[in-house]
Amino acid sequence: MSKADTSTEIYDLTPWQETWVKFRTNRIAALGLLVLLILIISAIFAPLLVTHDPHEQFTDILLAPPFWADGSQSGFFLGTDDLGRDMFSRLIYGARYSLFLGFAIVSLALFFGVAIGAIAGMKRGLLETVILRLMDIMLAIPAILLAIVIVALLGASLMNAAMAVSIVLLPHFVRITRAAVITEMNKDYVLSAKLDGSRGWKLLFQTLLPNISAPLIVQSTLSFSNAILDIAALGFLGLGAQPPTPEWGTLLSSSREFIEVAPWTVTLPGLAILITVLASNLLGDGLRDALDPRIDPL
Amino acid sequence: MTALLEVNNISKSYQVSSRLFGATTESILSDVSFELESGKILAVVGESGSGKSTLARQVVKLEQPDSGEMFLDGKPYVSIPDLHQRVRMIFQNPAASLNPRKRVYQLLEGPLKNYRNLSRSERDDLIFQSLEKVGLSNEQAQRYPHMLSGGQGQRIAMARAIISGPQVIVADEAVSALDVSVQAQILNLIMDLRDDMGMSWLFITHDISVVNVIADTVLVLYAGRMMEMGPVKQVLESPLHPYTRKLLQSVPGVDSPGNEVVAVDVKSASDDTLPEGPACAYLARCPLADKYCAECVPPMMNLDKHLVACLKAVKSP
Repeated sequence: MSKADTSTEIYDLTPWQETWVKFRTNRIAALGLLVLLILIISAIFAPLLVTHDPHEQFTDILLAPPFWADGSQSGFFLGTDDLGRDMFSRLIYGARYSLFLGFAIVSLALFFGVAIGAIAGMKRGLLETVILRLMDIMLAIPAILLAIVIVALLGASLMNAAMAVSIVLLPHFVRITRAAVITEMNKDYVLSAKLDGSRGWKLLFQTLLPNISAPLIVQSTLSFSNAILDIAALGFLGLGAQPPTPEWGTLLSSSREFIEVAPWTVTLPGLAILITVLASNLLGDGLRDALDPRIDPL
Repeated sequence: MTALLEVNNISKSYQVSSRLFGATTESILSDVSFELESGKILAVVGESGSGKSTLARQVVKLEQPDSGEMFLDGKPYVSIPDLHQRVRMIFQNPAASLNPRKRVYQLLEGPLKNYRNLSRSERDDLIFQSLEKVGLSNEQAQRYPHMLSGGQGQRIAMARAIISGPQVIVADEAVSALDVSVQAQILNLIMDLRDDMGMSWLFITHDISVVNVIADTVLVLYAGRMMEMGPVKQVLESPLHPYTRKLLQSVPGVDSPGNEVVAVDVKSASDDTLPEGPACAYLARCPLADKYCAECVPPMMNLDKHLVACLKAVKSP
């Protein structure tokens, strides 16, 4: 097809282009994507952006307020914490932990969830029943409680907390994948792919996955915010990242005794978590609309 | 002449869970037999729920029949490793049967990649040849299915079916989702392909008016049982089974203004009109039924190559 006859009509677009066109029209979701991109970029280029080393203690400037309050110190425009460390630098470095962990946790849960869910959906029978009941048991236990139990078993550290959270998120991916696979397996295009010789993993990766990616992508973005929240919660409880790691949840918990004298030390990490979670939820909602063929804003 | 495809007494039933515990089986096909000769078109006609699609699934080996045997070229299905290349299928709706996430090129490439060890240029040649055979240009190869019209989509489905050089193609309601004008094109294409490549077609349809145009032989199914089978001319001009007559009456015709269209009963075979125990499947709806029809399954009678399963067939009114 030559460039000349490529018009912008929706039925001339590839499926992914069509999704992008629909997604662009959703301003709030685009804002979510923008915020997330800014966060990702600032996490990647953290060493270039920060004004101080996040671990460096300025013992003569303890609990300095941020720039808008009286008594703020020049050079520390989001203030300092109880040990005189620069809040801005710690928050930027904290984005590294939260975002990286979010991606890692969701990737892990997505990978194993799709694998297990696809086996359940394609093989059916006894194996499916066993897998589903196991996932039901995991879903029946409150997420944070299950994560605490797993961390208690593995020992408190950031990596173990990440493992625990991805185990907690796993059942959602398993169930979504299984349901989608079962729906698609009976459709004509899957039957014809089978007749064309696609079986097993080949059928899953080449035929099924591209067609069930929509709910999985949406679940991934929503799980991403859950993962960040859970990691922060575990950090706050002292089961995740350990001080002096500048992880947002850990920042929250280590400064909570100063909430009356220096409220910014608690508010700012909380805001950082809120903004990240909100942005990824907005992105997830926007993607859900954009990927759903029944919703056509054009 | 020996038959290319031989289907002997296949039956198929599915499990349906009716109550909370336990399941019952529902018979969808029982004792269906036919022969398809090389280069011929056999039409299978029947209303929804008559087991046409189930028959198609057995013939292309998507499912295994509960009983009965099938032979291709005199060899039983189990002994043919490349059966999926030799017996191909076309589905009703191209929008549903073409993977929306793949380009036409990738769709046609599938069977070649999976079944045959060819170089890329050999694959390209075959793909463009089969596109040409179904009357499409190479430019279509880079498009996605949703960019194609219904007729183009069905041509792609046909290109995918013929690409492995099959002996039999099963077309399950292949023209039912298309406009009437496009239907005619596709029917012509089917006959052209049959003449060029010499393959046989098992043409499944609910539309008996299409059968007249295309088929050599016609098989009438009702509730998974064979009602009537014979050369198209005989069956359509002098139908022996009351069900075939009813199907023919229900065809709206433009050329016969005086004729009233007679609707087939609102109840279909899938409703619970099937008799318990051995009896004619068509018993509940048959205008000619009497007590003998309720006592046995009517045997298949062969009246000069025209088979019919009706006790009343011989002295038809």
